[in-house]
Amino acid sequence: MRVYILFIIALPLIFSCEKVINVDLNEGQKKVVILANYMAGDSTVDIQVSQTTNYFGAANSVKINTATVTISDQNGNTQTVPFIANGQYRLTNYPGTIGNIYTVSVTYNGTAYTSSSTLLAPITLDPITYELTSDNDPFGPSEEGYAASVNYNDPVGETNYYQVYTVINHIDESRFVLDDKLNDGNAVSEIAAEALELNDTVNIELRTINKNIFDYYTELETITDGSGAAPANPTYQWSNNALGYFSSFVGSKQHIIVQ
Amino acid sequence: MKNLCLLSLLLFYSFGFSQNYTISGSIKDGTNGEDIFEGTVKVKELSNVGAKTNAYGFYSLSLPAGSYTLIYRATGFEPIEKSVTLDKNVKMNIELGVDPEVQKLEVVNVSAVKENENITSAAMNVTKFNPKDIETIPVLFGEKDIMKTLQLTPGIKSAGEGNSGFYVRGGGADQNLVLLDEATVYNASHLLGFFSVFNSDAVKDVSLYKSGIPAEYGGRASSVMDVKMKDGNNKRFGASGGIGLISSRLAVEGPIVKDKGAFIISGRRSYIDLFAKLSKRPSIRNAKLYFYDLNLKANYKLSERDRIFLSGYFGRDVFGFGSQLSFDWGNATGTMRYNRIINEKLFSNTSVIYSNFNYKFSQGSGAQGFGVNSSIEDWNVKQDFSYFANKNNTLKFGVNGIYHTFKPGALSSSGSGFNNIKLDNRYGVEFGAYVQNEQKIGDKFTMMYGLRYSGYSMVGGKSFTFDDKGNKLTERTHQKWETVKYHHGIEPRLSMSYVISDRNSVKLGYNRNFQYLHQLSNSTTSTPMDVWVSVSNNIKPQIADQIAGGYYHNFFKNKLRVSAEVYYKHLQNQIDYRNGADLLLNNEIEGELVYGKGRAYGLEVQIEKKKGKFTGWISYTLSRSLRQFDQINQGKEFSARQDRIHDLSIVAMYKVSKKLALSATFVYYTGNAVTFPAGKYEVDGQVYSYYTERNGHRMPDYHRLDFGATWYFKERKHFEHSLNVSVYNAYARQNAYTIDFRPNADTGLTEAVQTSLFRAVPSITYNFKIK
Repeated sequence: MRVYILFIIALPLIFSCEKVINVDLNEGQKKVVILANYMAGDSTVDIQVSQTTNYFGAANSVKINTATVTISDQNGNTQTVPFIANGQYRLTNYPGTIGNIYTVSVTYNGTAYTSSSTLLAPITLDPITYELTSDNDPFGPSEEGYAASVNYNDPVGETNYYQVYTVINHIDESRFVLDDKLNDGNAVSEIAAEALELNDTVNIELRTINKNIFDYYTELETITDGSGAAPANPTYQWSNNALGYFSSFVGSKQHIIVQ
Repeated sequence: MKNLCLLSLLLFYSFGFSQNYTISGSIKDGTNGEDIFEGTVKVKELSNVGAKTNAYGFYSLSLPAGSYTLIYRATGFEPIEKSVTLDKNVKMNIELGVDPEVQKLEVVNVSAVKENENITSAAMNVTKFNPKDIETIPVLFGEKDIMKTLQLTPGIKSAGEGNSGFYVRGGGADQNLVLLDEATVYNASHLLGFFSVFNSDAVKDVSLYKSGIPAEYGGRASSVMDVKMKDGNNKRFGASGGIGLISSRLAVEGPIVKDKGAFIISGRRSYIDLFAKLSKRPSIRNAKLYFYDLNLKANYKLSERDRIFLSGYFGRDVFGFGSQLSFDWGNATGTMRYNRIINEKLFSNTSVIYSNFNYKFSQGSGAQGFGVNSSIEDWNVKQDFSYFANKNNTLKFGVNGIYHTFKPGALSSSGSGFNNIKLDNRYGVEFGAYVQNEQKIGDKFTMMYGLRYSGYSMVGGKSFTFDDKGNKLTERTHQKWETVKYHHGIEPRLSMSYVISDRNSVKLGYNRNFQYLHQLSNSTTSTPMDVWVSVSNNIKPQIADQIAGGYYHNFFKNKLRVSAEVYYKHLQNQIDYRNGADLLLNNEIEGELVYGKGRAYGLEVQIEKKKGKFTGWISYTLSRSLRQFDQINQGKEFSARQDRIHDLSIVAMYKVSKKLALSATFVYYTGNAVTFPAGKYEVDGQVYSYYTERNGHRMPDYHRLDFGATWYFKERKHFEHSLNVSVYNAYARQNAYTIDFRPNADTGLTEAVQTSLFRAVPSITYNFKIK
C-alpha cells in the first residue's frame, strides 16, 4: 500500500521558496551498476551494465560494453547473455521454470558480480478500472482527469510482494511496488495511472517479485532521496557491492483504452 | 556499651548543640501570592549562611540562638530585611514586592553588593527564564515562546528553522526531559515545531539543566527542562491575553478563598488556516490547520501545613484536507500534588502524575479508507522530601515509579481494502530513587552531590530475538506482569563551586544519566509520527557521562556577567537504523535498529548585561558532536546531524522610555552535517544519487536578524496594555530548509535545489492585562 503520511512533513513548504544553488561535492569512486530482469513470461533476459558518473555531469550514466554476462539455474546450467549495444545484454528464448533459482553473473575489469532470484508463480490480474477524479493531491500539481486502478485478489495466508509496471500510450513507463502487510487476502485496488485523457491506452503488468526486490525499490524511493534524515545507497543486491538489482518474474498483463 | 556511646555522640553531633533553633516559612510574590522557587534568605551577620526555597516556596534555616538580620531576596524583586531574635523556633512567611516602606530600608546598599548569585550558587549550567524576561524578544508570528528563547543561550541549539526541538550539548532531541509541572511532555511542539506547547501566559518559570543535573531528575541523557505553571493569583481576580495575527490567547486567574487558594485557566487557539482560505485551489481552501492549548491549575491550603495542587494541560493540533485526510495529535497531562510541612525542617511532596501523547491519522473513506491510532501513556507516582538539616546541609531524597503503556499503532479500515491491524502494546515499569545533599564547606566552597538508582523493567507483551542482519529468530508472548528484561544502573551526580571572591568563581560538575526510552525518527524534522521505544531484551539504555567545568566573572559591580564553560560528554547505546528501515506499523521494529556510541565536547562563552536600560547577552558555542556505528559509514566516526561547530546568538533589549522597548536578536550557526551524493546513476530510466559517506557535507551557514518593538500604553490602576510589532528574518536571508538533488523537470539535468521557508515575516500582537 502507498500511504501519503509523508504529506505532513511537506506542510511547512506551504510558506517556502526554492532556488538552484551551487554545491561542491566530494566525488566518490565510480561504481558498477547492473540492472537485470529475467522476464520469464517472455523467455527474455535483459541486462544493462553501466557506471556511476559525476553528479553534475551531463550524462546520467556511463555504459559498459565489455562485460561478460551469464545466467544459470540452481542445477548449474549456464548460458551466456550476449552483448547487444550501448551497455545492453540480451538473451532470448530462455524459458523459465517456476521455483527455480536463477543466478546472473557479470564480470568486468576482473571483478565478478553475482545475484540470485527465485522465479515465483504469477497472480491473475483482474480487468483495469478507471474513473474521473479531480485534484486529490493538495501538494502535487492539479491533476484532473481519469485515474486507472490495478485490481487483483491477494492470496490469503501467504506473504506476497508485487511490482506494478504501467505503460501509458506505449511510451510512459512507471513502476511501483506493493506488499500485503496491511491487506493480506483482500481484493486490492490501487491507482496505477493518473491524469489520463480519453483514448489513452494503459498497459499494466503485475509482477510477483522476491522480498529483496520489494525492499530494494522501497529503499530506492525512501533513502536515496536526499531530503530524508540519512540518505544512503539501497542494500547491495550484487556481490562485491555493485549497485542495481536482479529480478526474475512472470508478469500477468491487462490493458485498457479510456473511453 | 562503647558502640552505644559512639552512637549517642553521633546523634548529639548531628542534632547539633541543642541551642539551635529553626526559622522556616515561605517566600511568595506579594502581588499575587505565587510561590517563589529558589528565593534566598541570607544572614547578614554570618557569611555564606542562608537557605533557599524549594519549588513550593518553602525554606528552613537552623541557627544558634541569637539575634539576626535576615535578607530575603528573589530575582525580579527588591530585597527586604527582617530582624529576628531566635530563642525558639520561628515561623516567618515573607511576601516580596509589597510593603514599600520596609523595602526602602537600605535597599540600595543591599542590592548593590549582592547581585552575584551566579557567582555564589552551587548549581552550574542551569539556565533560567520567566516569561517576563523574554517579553520583548522578537519571535516568529509574535508568539513569545520560552523554548525559542532558551535556544538563544549557549549549548542549547535549535533543531532548525521552524522546529521547537532542541539539542543540548551535542545530545539528541529525544535526550531532553521536558517536564510541565512534573509531567513528561513527549512532543513539546505545535504545528510541527513553529510553536512550543508552553503558553507563556500559564508559565511561571523554566529551568534548563545542562550538566551536574540534580539527582532528583532522571530518565533522559542530556538535559532537563523543568517548566512550572503559575499557581494563580490568590489575592484578586485578573485576566490577561493577547490578540495576534495568527493566534490569540486568554488567561483568567483569581482566588478560590483569598490567601488560601487560587486557580488559573489559560487558553490559546491559532487560526493560521484562515490564510489557506485565500488559496485559489479548492483543496487548500478546505484545509484545516490549527492548534489549541488549555492550561488549568488550582491550589488550596488545607491548613498551615497542608496544601494541595491540581494542574493539567491539554493541547491538540488539527490538520486536514476535506474528507480525504485528517491528522491530529496532542499531549494531555495531569498532576495532583500534596504538600505537607512535617516539621520545621522536613517538607514532603507527594505527586500522582499522568501523561499522554497520541495521534490519529485517517485517510480516504469507503473501501480504501483507513485510520491509524498511536499513543504513549504514563502513570507516575512520586514522593519527594526536602530536609533542611542544618545551616550547612540541605538534603533531598525521594522515590518514584512510572508505569508506561506504549500503543505503537492500530490500523482500522473503513472498508474491505485494508485489514484491521493492531501492533502489540508494550508495557514497562520505570523506577528511581535518589538522595542528594547541598553542603556548604566554609565560606567559599559549596557542593551538591547525589546518587540516583534507576531501573526499567519491560513487562508482559511480546519479545523477539533477531540475527545480526535483523531477521527475526524467535518470538515469545509473556504473562501480564512477567519481567522480560530488567535494566538498571547507578547515576552519580556532582557539582561544586568555589567562590574566589565576590566577583568570580569556578565550578565543576559530573553527571551520569540513564535513559530507558529511545525516539525513532525517519525525517529531518521531528514529527508526531516519531516512535518511542523502550529498552527491551534487544535495546539497551542510553547512558551519558558528562564532565563540565566553568569560570564565572562579574564586572562593573555585577552589571556585566561573563562565563566560560567547557564540557565533554560520552554517549553509549545510541540508535540508528538499517537501510530502508520501516518505522510505520512495524511490530518487529527492533530488528531495524543498529547500536553505536557518541561523543560531544565544546566551549561555551556568554557575556550578559542584566541591569540598566540596555540589557541582553552574547553567547557563543564552539563544539563537536560525533557518532560511531559499526554498520554505518564503514564503521568510521561521523558528524552527528547537530554537529554545528560555531553557534552565535546576540540578544539586545533597549528600554527607550517607560513607553517604548526595542529589541533585536541575531543568530548565526554552522550548517547541519548532511549527506550529499558523490555521484549518480540510472535505474529503470530514473536518475538516483550515489552516496559514499554519512554526513560528510554541510548545509549552508544559517543566519538571521529579528527586530521587535513594544509600545506600552498608559497604565491604569487595574488595566495595562501594549502593542508588540516584530519582524522575523529582517534582511530576508534565504536560509536553507532542505537541499534536494534532482533532475530538472525541463532540461533533465541534475541540479541542487535549495528550499527556504521564510523571507521577512512581520507580525503584530496586542497584549492586555486586567488586574
